[in-house]
Amino acid sequence: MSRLVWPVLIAFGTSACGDTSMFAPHGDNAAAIATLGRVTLAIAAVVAVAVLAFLAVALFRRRQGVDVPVTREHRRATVVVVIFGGLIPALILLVFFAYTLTVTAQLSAPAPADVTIEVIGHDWWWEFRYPGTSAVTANELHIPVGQRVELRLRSVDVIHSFWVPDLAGKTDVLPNQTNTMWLVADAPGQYHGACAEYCGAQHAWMRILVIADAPDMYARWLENEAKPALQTPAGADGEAVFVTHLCASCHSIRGVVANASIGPDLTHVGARKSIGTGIFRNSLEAMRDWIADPQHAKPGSLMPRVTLSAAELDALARYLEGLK
Amino acid sequence: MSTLAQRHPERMLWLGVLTGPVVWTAHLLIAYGLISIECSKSLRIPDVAYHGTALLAAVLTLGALLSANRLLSLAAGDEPMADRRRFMARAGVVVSAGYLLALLFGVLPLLMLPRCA
Repeated sequence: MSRLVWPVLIAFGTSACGDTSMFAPHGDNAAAIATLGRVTLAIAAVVAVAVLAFLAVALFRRRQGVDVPVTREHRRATVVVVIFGGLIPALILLVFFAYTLTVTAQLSAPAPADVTIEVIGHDWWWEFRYPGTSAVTANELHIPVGQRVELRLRSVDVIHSFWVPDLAGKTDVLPNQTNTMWLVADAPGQYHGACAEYCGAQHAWMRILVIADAPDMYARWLENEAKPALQTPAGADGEAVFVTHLCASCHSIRGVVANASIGPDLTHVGARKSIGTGIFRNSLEAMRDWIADPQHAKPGSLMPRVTLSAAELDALARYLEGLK
Repeated sequence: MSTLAQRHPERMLWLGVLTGPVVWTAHLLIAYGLISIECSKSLRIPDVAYHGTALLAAVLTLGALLSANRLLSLAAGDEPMADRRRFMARAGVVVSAGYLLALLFGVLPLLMLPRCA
């Protein structure tokens, strides 16, 4: 048993390490949540110390064998329990709760936004639409640094939750209801997030990558993302495979005869950082593996295994990787 | 003239213990239901529906608390059932107070947060 102690302690101690932490905020909403978390932790620590101190006193006095008549001690003990075990905890909880609600009200108050983006949750991937443009992407949310972004969230299937800890708190993504949240990234960078509401077998592989760029870079990205796919002679074979096999039944590539919306829009899939909502780092080999057997990599996902020859698979992977 | 507590002590003791959790559950379900309907159907449900339900729940729970406290003072003596009655009356006071607090925790978000945010 003792062999387990150190690994468990190390695991807990390092669980907040890595590149994502609600205690390392990069936006005003996340900062308010981080402060709330720190204050809560501090008060909880004080309460824990007080409880342990009471316990120690109780143990110490028991050993001394205090000679007090039972009825008098009983009455005093009841008063102590009611005050310290009931009234004070209730008061602390009420203060906590009121503070939490104040922060929540501040976070959910409508604020004028510089950019509005639609977020659509699917089992198990994210779709991002940029109203007013043709830009549609998946799993990677591009935003401009320093500008307030309004996210309008909805789901096409089950309940998901959108959470990028460095930038903002969780917001439920519901079917038949549009929820709104706001976030600001105060520094350029990549911020990781995930679905925070269990939504099925591949819930763990419903990652989010937020890429915050300087406004001019963001504008260039958006302009490119809104363009249809670039047609190249080198991609003609792959495009033919895409259109003639099952791919086009579910996916869309703008500029190509494919307008389905069951799976992610692939118009610029080659420019994305990952495949399979975070399972693979994007590369030609990864694209080939993913297409060859998606059910092996992500069992239960809607993407079926399509029977392709080696040449077809290679042409299709090259074509998709070329869609930048 | 005998009081209700004197005529039906058993029922009143059980009412003291059960009113808090039952009222809290009913309030939670009603508030959740109203908000779900309001937000998903874009209907405007008047504030009075929420506040009235909360007020009614609070009055019922407070009534249970006061009644249990009254029963506690009546459960004196050393007849065979007195200990049990004292215990149930005390449980009624504690349970009602706890659920009154829980009710307050349920009502505060309704007062402080936008309902469909």
